[in-house]
Amino acid sequence: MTLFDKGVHPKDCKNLSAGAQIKKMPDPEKVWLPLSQHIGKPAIPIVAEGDHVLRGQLVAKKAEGLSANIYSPVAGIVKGVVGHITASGKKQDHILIENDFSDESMQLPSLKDPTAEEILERIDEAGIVGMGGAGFPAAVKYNVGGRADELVVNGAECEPYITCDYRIMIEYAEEFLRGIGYVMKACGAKRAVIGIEKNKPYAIAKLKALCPQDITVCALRTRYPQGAEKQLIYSCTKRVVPEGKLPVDAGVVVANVHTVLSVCRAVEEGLPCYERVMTVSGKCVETPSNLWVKNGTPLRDVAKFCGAKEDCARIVSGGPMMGEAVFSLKVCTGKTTSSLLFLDASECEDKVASVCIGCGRCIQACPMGLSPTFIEEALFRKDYAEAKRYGASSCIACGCCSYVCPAKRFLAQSVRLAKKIIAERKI
Amino acid sequence: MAEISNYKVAASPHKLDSSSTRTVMLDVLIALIPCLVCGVVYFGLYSLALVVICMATCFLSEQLYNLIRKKPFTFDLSALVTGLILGLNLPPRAPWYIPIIGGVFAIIIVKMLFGGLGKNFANPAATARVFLLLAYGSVMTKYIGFDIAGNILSTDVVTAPTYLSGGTAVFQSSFMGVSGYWGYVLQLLFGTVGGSIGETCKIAVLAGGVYLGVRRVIDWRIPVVYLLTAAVMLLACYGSAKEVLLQLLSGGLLFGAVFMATDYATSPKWKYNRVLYAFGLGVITVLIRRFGSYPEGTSLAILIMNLLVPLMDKFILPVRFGQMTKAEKPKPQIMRWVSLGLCAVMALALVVAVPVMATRPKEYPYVISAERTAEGEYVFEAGGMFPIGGTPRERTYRVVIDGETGIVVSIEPITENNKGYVAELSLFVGKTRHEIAVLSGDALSTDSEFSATYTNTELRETLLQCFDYISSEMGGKSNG
Repeated sequence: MTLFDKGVHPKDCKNLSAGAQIKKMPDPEKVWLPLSQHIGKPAIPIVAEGDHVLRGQLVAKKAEGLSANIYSPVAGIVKGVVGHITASGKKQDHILIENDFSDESMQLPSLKDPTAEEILERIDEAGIVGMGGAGFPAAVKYNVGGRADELVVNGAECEPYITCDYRIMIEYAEEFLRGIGYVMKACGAKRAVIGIEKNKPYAIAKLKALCPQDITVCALRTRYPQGAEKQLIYSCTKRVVPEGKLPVDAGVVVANVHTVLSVCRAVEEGLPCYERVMTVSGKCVETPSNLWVKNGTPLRDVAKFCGAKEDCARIVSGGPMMGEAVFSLKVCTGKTTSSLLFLDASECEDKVASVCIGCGRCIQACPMGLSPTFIEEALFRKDYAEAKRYGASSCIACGCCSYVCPAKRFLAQSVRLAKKIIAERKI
Repeated sequence: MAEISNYKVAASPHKLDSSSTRTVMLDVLIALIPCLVCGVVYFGLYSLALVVICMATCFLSEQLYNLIRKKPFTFDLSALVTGLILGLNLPPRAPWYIPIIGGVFAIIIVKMLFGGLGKNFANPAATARVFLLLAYGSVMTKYIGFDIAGNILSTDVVTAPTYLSGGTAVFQSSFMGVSGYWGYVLQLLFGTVGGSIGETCKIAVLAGGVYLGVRRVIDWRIPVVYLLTAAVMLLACYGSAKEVLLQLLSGGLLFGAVFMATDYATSPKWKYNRVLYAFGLGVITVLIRRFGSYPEGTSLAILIMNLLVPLMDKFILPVRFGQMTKAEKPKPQIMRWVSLGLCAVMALALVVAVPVMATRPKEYPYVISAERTAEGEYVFEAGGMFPIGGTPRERTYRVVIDGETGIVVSIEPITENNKGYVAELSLFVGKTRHEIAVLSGDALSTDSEFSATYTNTELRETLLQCFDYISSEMGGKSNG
């Protein structure tokens, strides 16, 4: 396997918000807390309409199996469990809480010199999930039973615009490094590597200066998708995760920067996971910022706070490469909402697909070594076995193929669809 | 806050690369401009008219096809690219109907009938060139040359041989003050030789290639590996280091490598398949040039390799990240190692063999003895085993060449085991090297009864060797 030389290099546009210090956004009047901010089953509400809750109070308990606890981000009155739209367009149950601005709070007891079990238990209790976007309950992910010897911390932040991890690494460097220590202990790793793209030299320098001996900083080539799990592991440790296996099968656990910070806060201060740092950026924002935003804040409030302009052509929740376009500002933030982008027409052109000219750029760009154009061709003639032969099942949905396509074909969507059909029909 | 109202929803990725089909095609057109300019400067406005006719034909025939098939008109510039490439592939004095026939053939038959842009299995321009060559052979090889002073022979159609059909005789003895071999190379680089409109000036072709490579429009692997393979093959097939550069810079090889072999639809999609494809191109091109009946092999080689592309795309796939074999071992990157190994071996072969072969003295098997008389005449005893009537027989001649004028003064047989196949000496006496070099085919077939073509051909080779011997071994000039 060669060095990670595939992928694409979109203009990173990080300078819009890279210099903005993390600020606290004023609490919203109402929060709609989604019951499903993670992969797995939705949490089960344990409050009823009319209940008074404190900031940091458990309002929904994790369900059996894969799930995560949800805490109230504000103090106020529960107005009930209501159906509300999510970023993906589905209607889901949300707990509606009206803020009384008393800001009365409660928290978990802080831990002193915790053992691995105590840390895992706290991560589970605090409802921490993978905050890079996937939202996989972190306690399950880190509980690897000693099968991992190395922790890779994902500070690559390869998506354009997003700077929240960068700001955390600079502003919360000590807490972040202590958090790495807790996660290492929890998963039994002996070493940790922080992978950071070279376009964040200040973060690299700062962390290098502060790192204890068992943590190293790995400067990575600026290349999207450098932060994709398997690519990151390869770049940082030269280990290859076999197809269809998990990182732990290669002896590695991957943690996101913000997740690590949340672990530190949960362990040391007993703060559960109910707020996160979010980047608000794009040309259609008056003040691009990095903000502490409470979970369940309607995007409209965030837009208002940052001064979104009306000529905005597209609103994206998450990065521009993999994020979802927001269809309504009623949608609320969650544990995994890392950014909100207000893009103007020059930043996101509407594309019209034309015929494939056979340039092969999608094949050269695919970080997984698939052949998107041939997968699409096979999909169109319903030859799913052929699509699988070209590797459709290994797609990580990074979108590099669609990005490079000069014919503007919807390659990523086609491959995703082929992957879905192959999985459903067990071909 | 003003209300945001007219935003849209779309699937990710939301950011797209700025290149589009049209910018790609535009880049190719831009890259071809130097070739076009050089062609027009060298061969006149008539050749510009040919190119314009060709482009117009290609564009209009594509729209006509769309009209008939009730499809939307296409303005992606790809037809203009095909038209420009085909136009630059035409001889400078081709009749006006040639680009029209070629353009219609390229667009309608090769491209649109197979589904249009991206669906054609063979390069439209290369196919049309080969089609025209087969259908209008005498017209398509009528190149105009340059006279000794480097001025274009602009009067009407003068058939001039290229280096590939006429050897070094087609060159001027010195160019820009450089004489001999490097003078020839310079002439080829600047393109003051006969050839198609756009392919003679190699500097322009290289400029276009570099532009496309830097803009990442074409994959650099294809032209680079193609030229590398061709160089190694030339060395192996011709056994001469000097031949490598002269052949690489002759004919349509460079133009084809940069602009035709890299055509998207008809070249493989994965980079290592492209290396394999370019390797095949190099091998086939040189084999056709050396052993085939056509002096030029690029278009044919491209066509042949085009046919293998779908197979390569289907059966040689990239190794996926983390892909495992059935035995749970990481799948080896076979194609990567094959490609790298192939290129490394070829590069090494060139680096080692070229200096060795360049310093090896050239052999003149037909020259038995040579001397220079006081009057400035070169007197040779030359000859050898000629194949006559199916068996080799010894023939030797006394050849006298005037050193001043470079004209064959006399040829006298010394031993002539002719068995009735008598060489037609009058074909050669009183002629310059150039005039002898261009003799071929029917011109050498003189005797109706015995058809002494072989004998005459061998004598021609003998005389050419005598000329070469003078120029390289005796310090004289061989070009009249």
